[in-house]
Amino acid sequence: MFSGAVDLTFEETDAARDGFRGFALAAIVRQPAEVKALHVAALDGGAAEVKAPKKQLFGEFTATCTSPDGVPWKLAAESKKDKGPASVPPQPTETALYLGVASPKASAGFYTQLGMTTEHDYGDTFTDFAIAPGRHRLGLLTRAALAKDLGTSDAGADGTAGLWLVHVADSPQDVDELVSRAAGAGATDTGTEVDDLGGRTGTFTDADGYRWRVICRAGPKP
Amino acid sequence: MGLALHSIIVGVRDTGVAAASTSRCSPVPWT
Repeated sequence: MFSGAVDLTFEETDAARDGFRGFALAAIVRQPAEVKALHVAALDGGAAEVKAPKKQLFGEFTATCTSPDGVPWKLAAESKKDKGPASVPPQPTETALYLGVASPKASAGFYTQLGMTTEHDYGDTFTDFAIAPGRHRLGLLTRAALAKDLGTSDAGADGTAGLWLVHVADSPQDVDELVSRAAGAGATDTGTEVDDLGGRTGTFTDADGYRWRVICRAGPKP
Repeated sequence: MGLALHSIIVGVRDTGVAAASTSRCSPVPWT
């Protein structure tokens, strides 16, 4: 579980590559000392340093690295100053997925049409959704801003290679309804199909190329 | 029903490497 709220899994794909991928995973810890500890642990674990732990322009304390499997990670502290000893090991209070988009405002409009509720809305600068309040969020910012934040450039990158966002629906009818609503809100590459086990899977792609799977597995719900 | 994010699937070149990272993933690698 990714922060006990959202599963994080991996699929082998030739589309994965180095450089800016259009998204980042993030772990938020309590204080700068924990960012430093987590960053050191990441490097010891084979991650490549992109930006060393540092207080940023507006006081936010962050670090960025790329995991051995090529996934960009941002580590950030809730507070600007240490308030006590770092917990060992540091336990993130929250995780996040950040997507680089052409227009956060337009993208947020799309997702709110599909039923998501914004938590922070700074127009075309940044918007996020509390996927699991206090545990996981989905953030939208411009591709250039995200690339800069990650210490890289978005020049020439198509950005969305190798990422699927998954919604688990309660019923096959819900799969169809969500895909239909997505199409109505401007999604492309929409479709639904019955899988070999009798489950139903819908797919759509948002305006920035991020791909969603809406799935309803066959059989009783766990 | 509204759209929610339940799972993130990240494409990687080698799932063995990813699995080695995520075996320590609670809730993120390196913790």
